Amino acid sequence: MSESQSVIEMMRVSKTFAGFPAVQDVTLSVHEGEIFGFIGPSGCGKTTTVRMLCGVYRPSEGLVRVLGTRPEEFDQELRAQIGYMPQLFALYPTLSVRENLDFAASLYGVGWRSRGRQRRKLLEFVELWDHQNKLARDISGGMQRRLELACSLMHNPALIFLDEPTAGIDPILRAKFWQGFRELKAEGRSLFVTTQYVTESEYCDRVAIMNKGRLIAVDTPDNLRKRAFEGEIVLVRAPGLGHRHRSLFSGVPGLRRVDTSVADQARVIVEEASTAMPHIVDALKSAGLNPESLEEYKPPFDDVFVALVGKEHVDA
Amino acid sequence: MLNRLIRVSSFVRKEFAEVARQPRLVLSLILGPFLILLLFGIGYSGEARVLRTELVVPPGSPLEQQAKEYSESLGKQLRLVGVTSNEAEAKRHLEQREVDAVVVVPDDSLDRIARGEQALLTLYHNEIDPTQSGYIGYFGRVYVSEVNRRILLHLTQEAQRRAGESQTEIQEAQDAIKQARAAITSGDRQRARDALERLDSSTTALAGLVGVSAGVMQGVKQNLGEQGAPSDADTLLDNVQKLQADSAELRQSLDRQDQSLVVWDAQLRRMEGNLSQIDTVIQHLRSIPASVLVSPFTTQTRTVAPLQPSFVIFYAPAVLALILQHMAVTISALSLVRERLLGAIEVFRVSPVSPMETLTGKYLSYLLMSIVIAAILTLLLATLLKVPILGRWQDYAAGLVLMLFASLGVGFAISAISGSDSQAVQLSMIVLLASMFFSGFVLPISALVWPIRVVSYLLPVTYGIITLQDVMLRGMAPSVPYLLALLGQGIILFIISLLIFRRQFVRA
Repeated sequence: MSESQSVIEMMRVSKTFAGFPAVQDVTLSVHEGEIFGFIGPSGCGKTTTVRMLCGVYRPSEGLVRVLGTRPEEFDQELRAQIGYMPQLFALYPTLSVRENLDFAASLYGVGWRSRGRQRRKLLEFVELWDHQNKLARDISGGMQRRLELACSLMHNPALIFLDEPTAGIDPILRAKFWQGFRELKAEGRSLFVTTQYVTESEYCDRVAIMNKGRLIAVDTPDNLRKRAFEGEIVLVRAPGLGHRHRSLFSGVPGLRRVDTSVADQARVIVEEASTAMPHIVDALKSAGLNPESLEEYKPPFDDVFVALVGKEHVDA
Repeated sequence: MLNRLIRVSSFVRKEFAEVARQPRLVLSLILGPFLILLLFGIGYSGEARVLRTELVVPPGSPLEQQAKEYSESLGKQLRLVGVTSNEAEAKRHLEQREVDAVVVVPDDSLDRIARGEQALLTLYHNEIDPTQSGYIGYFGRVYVSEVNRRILLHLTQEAQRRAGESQTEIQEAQDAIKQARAAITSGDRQRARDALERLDSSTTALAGLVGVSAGVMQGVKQNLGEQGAPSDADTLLDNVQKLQADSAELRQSLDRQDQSLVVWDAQLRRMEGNLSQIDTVIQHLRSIPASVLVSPFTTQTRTVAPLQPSFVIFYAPAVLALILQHMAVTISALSLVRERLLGAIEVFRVSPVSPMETLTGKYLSYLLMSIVIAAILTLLLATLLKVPILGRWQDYAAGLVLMLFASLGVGFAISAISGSDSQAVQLSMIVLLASMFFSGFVLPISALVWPIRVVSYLLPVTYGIITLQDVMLRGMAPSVPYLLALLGQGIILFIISLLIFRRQFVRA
């Protein structure tokens, strides 16, 4: 995707609060029509970054461009193209689900006639159609998050910022949320999603990993995994396979290293799994070992995150 | 433009929906002030406080009995609960709040009066409230004046009674003149002198008898500062003096033998004339009731105002203004703070809605809401408490709307500077407290010195109370400078709130 299609650009952006660096030297770009995951532990600077992108905060250093414009220069038309779901509850508890949606639509100047169809579509999308007359305070926490999501979409934005939309939500609902995000992406919208659930990176087209205000890596989930473990992992299971067979794989092309810490199996880290797998089978057979299984292993993103943070720490 | 209208109207719908979802709030907003007025109307008698009073008199004093008689006729604000000679015990009753006042009559009061000095009655109380303390002081002065008046009345009645005895003296004086004339005519100068001496004796007695009445009349005249024609009192005293002077002169002339019979007879006729005038004046003085002589003036109060309202009706406009101001200040003070605490301001900052649209929307919603509540309250006051609106409805509406607009400004300014709900409520309560003291609701504004009076004119309710009272109870048009003051105050506070709110809207 070319640079001209970027909907978000951050160039060496930092933000400090009373001398405390919340975000340091972040450079990234988000392309039109992609789901961009912004991942990191609590307090790593995700919300600060989103707020800078939405124009709530002014960066202390660096350049931010959203939809080609610096946030401080946003006009009302441009703001109308942006949807924002804040991290904290911003619904009116004494208004009904429907009234909250209508208020959100009104803030963006969406008229009565045009908002009806969008309201129905979104209520069905977030599965709140049957609850539209309930007060926001009377629905569950998960429903409230879904309502907030619907509120941020009432004006049909092209670029959507979702700050920890799945925080505090059960795994089933989280999966539904991500399904919804994919549907939004399919409609051609760009999504910037922050989350502290590292495993949710799998749902993103590209992921930025933040730790302690610094950007550790930005890439596709697969590339990040590769970067974390310095290659792709082939998991081999064969009875009798052990530490003494480590040298067996020296002829495998693109070999990085071999982990035989578990009996009867080995993790062979290679540059490209598909190329290496036939050579691994040959090597096992040459040693008289009969492979029970051979597959590319994709470690959970938690491990990827830990590995990347660990590497960053070592590099630092 | 349409988008702008939609954004502004979004707040109106939201605020109305939020308030409508809180029926208890609506009920308290409407029924609260009305019930306060109703209870006030039922419970407030407006009568001065009855003081339980204990009198301390010297042992064996005749005042003990007189005090009891006096207390029954002095008025219902004094209730004599005991007469004692033990001052310490009476003071203990006062300290224990068993009585409200103790009046101590000094032991030497009669001696002092006899010496021509005033006797000092000491009135003790146990009040810390300056108003009550002042009331008791005033009460003491009024009752001592009444006691003094009654003593004076007694003296005057006595004087009039004695003036009645003057008839005998006048008759004797007339007889003496006749005897003197007969003696002079017969050439018996010694008998004539004797008769004139009897005349002097009667005249002196007469002067003593009419002196007090004449003195009272003289005092009334002097207190009025009256100039011009001589009064009865002047005539009376002049005639007595002339009579005495003529008698003395006639005696001397008889001794000197320097006048003719004709001259002496003329002198005697003049003396008879004076005596006759004295008699006439005494009859006139006796015909004036002693109570009129002692209290020549009484008062009556008449108002030119179109209405003489009861306490409830008089306070209704002020209570309405105060409650509406407090309601407007409180709901608007909490408004922006709640949005901030809820996190909605962050959503507003990202959305196309501007601070101006947000504030305008909120102003409109609260103004409409307040107007609806004010209308319902007015209806309740007019129908159930019979509070009149003598002036024009449009004047009444203009005063109310402008006061609400300015009050919302106060609330939004508070909201813009408050960091929390409790801070906003606290500041709203301070505005309420200031309104109680400085708006003229309880204490008259004229009682405040000027630099402090500025506080009064910073409060919308000050203008509101005066405007509503003028329109409702006097049927007057509201004061245009006051309406302009409210409008100006509202505009200035809107601008201040907008500037502060806009600064908070701007990126950090």
